[in-house]
Amino acid sequence: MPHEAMSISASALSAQRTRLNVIAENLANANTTKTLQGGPYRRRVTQLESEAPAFASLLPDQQNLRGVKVTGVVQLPETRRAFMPGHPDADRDGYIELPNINPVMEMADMMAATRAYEANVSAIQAMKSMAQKALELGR
Amino acid sequence: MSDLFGGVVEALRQASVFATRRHELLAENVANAETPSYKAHDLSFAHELDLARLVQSTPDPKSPLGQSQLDLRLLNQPDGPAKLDGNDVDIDKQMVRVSQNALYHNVVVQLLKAQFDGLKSAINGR
Repeated sequence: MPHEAMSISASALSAQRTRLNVIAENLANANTTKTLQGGPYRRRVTQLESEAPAFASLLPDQQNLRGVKVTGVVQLPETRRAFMPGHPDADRDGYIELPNINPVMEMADMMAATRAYEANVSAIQAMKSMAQKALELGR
Repeated sequence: MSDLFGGVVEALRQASVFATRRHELLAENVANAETPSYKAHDLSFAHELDLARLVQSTPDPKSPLGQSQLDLRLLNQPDGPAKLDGNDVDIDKQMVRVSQNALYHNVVVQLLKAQFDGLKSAINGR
């Protein structure tokens, strides 16, 4: 059924969007030294997992089609230290703790997420055109 | 219906069901392209529709079309070696399959349309 293929692709769209949101958060907070939890901002990573949809498919061996879901946004504990005497958050030795965020890595991750998003948009478009062609049969 | 069209319509119907099912599986692979330890799979049609047979004007009575049940087989063929996270989806290969499958579906629907158009013109007599 077209709606199954579309809901699988849609689950990936929403998962990749979440991933992009997390990357944006990391980039925005690349230099944040103070958070509500105390200490610097910590890098977050999105965890993806296959999900079993509620509907059962009619495939030969009862294989259930699985979309993807975000199981969690994990906070990584690592931070990095930089020598910045005079900074309001510097310790006695003049060091501050900064988030362990590498902007290059985040940008590469962002591109991967964007491409994954686009691939799923293409899959939805293919399904749409297949369904539309089939509907033209009645004419 | 199968008498009227010599089983061609039934065969084409099965082919279009196959294309739809295969798209679901491919969509699943694309959706899970970044899911750790996910393994890609594909679908095959045991009696893959031989388009050349449909083009024949006189169907072969020995191997009638569309008589068998739709026999779909799930394949677990990796696209290549798995990545470090255990995922073996090759997104490029999957996207090629998605467009191939959509084209295949279009061909099948086009052939179905030709069957019905033939009947229509026979009814109208022009």
